[in-house]
Amino acid sequence: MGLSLYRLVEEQNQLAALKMALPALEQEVKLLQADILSMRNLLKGGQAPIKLLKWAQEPEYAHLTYPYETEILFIPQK
Amino acid sequence: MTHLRKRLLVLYLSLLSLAALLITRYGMLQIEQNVFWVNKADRQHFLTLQEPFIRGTLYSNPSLHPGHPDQAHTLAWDIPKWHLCADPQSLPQAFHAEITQQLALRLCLPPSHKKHILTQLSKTSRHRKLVVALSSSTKAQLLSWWIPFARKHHIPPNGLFFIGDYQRMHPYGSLLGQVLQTVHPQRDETTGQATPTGGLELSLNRFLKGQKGIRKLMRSPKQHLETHLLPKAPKNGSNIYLTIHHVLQAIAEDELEQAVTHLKARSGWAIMMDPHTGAIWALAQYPFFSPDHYHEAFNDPLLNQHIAIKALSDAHEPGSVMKPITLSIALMANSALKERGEAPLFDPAEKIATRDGHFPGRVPLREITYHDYLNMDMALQRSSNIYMARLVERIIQRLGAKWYRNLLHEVFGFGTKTGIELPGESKGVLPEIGKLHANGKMEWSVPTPFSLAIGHNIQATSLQLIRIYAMLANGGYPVRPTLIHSIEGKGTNPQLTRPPATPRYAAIMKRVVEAMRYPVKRGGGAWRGGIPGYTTAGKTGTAEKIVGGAYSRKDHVATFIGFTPTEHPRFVLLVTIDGPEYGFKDGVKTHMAGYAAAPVFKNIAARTLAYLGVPPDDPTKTAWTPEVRALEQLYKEWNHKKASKTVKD
Repeated sequence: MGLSLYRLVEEQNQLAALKMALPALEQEVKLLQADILSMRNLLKGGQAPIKLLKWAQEPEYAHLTYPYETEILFIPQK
Repeated sequence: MTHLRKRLLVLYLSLLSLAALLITRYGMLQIEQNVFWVNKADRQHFLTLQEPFIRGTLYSNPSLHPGHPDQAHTLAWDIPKWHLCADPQSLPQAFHAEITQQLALRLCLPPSHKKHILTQLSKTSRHRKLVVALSSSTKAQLLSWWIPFARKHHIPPNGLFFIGDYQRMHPYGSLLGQVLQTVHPQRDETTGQATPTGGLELSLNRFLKGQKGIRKLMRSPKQHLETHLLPKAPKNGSNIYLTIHHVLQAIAEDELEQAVTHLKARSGWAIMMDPHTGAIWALAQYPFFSPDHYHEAFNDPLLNQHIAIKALSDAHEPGSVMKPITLSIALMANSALKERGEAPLFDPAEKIATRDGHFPGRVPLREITYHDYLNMDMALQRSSNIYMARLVERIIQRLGAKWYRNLLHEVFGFGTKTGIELPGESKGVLPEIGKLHANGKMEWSVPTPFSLAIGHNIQATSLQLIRIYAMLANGGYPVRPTLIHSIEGKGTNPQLTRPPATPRYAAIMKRVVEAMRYPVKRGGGAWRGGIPGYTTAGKTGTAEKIVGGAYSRKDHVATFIGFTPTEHPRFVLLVTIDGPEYGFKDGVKTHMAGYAAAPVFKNIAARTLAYLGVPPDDPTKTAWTPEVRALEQLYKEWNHKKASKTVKD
């Protein structure tokens, strides 16, 4: 019985320790999420259409063309 | 009663009174003042914070290609940021200078901001904002300095604290800058609402704005504990999908930038619209405006003038782009007279004398090149002022000025706003019959119609003009220019999904479009606007600007409006160059629309057609060659001239 009590108290201690660590982890997750959004914003800027259009005009991409509508096969979604 | 009993009674009554007092006090505290004490305990154990909302995101067109829904691209959205705040009363004055110095060093602040921080720290307050819109990495860096500093000097660590908020960001920089605009970085303290600076952020604010929420945290000596209690959840704004396509917008902006720079013009703008639905695919303007650096533009008088969307705020004389409209009205006059059982106003093939430019009440009309006789197709090809004025002269004689003005106003929409979802739209100026100017002269006088015929004495915005040309392209039904594709929670704009209206003037518009092919072909003034491999219909217009109350010979507005392919137009495109450099180059006037605006139209249209995958409908570039040659031959016969030397193939 003493052992069971000890185990119960130990478990409660572990739970309490986790609960106390949660706020810091939560803050860290929030900071990371904000960082991800900021980086996504930067990435989008790097993929801005005006930049992509200028790259498309480079000689090494001259072989790339847009397909005509008549060359595209439309398969209806079921 | 014995003395003892008396004492016992007094004691008993005293104890009873005390108990009664305690019970009464207990009742007051627990029952009567229950709410007060519960709230006080709540405040002591918990604190509530404002939970900011996310303002609605603006996306580009998600479905431009039929059958190929594009991924909508983010044009404007909220990014989490932090504001650095201070509790001045918990910061000892002895450390104010050092704290300010450290903040200025780590955040690279200018001396003026450093002074602002020192001032804020000296206030008698528990909450002052020091620096706004910091990233999470900057916040982490500041905390890594502040926490040890505060511990070392026994300063409460929450003397400096951060408040979470959102900042409006534009990942594509200045793309669509004037149309989107932005919001002020600091939100209202009470409501949490952002203040828009203009554009779509202002006109769509009622959809984009949200409501702040309330979050509950448990107080704790070291750090506040999250309770995951949201007594009031924040209500985020609605996301909005625009009709603007990011790639077509970028194409238009790229070509405009090159053209305005090359022509040494003041500015330029372009509008691309679906003529069947009114959806605007591109609304470009150069010089650009960067919403993320709006304060630079707002405070610079040179940049300030390019913040407004000139395509809808600036009304100017259209010039010769009015001529297809004049022809449309003349053909409508034919229909009206036919209904009355009278002879038609004119025949498009009719040989009309155009040597004499005298009209009642005005100085003689002039031409760039004089012609003896012209028919409708020749007149549009060579942009004849006298031919157009002769037609309007007949209209006034047979149908009256009111009929003519009514058509300009009711059918073509001059003098009325288009209703686009942007602020600051001008309705232009259409002279009114019987109304006086401020100087006491009549707005509509005898010579007015002859000026209107050639696009003078009237002011129209580019948006009004493209709306009219959309009618020409779609067979004659009006469309309202729109920027909204769909709003989350409200569905798709019904204007984009309902079947097109029945065209009222299909035959008339078709005939005018046939005539509009000639200006972009050999012999026409807009041949530089012809797109290789595609049939094009269009018209140039060069108008002298009014400077100091008089027409300026050196300051012009050059416009080209057209659509392609002519049979099933995919889009209508307007290009305006404001103030191209006045002069001559290779024998050509560089300020004329045929030189300044037409090539920009061609470049934008060609790149757009390639992007959309529209196959060429004139791959051999021989469409209408027999018609153009026949017209040239007929012109020579009527005018005893050789082929015009002003136009090269």
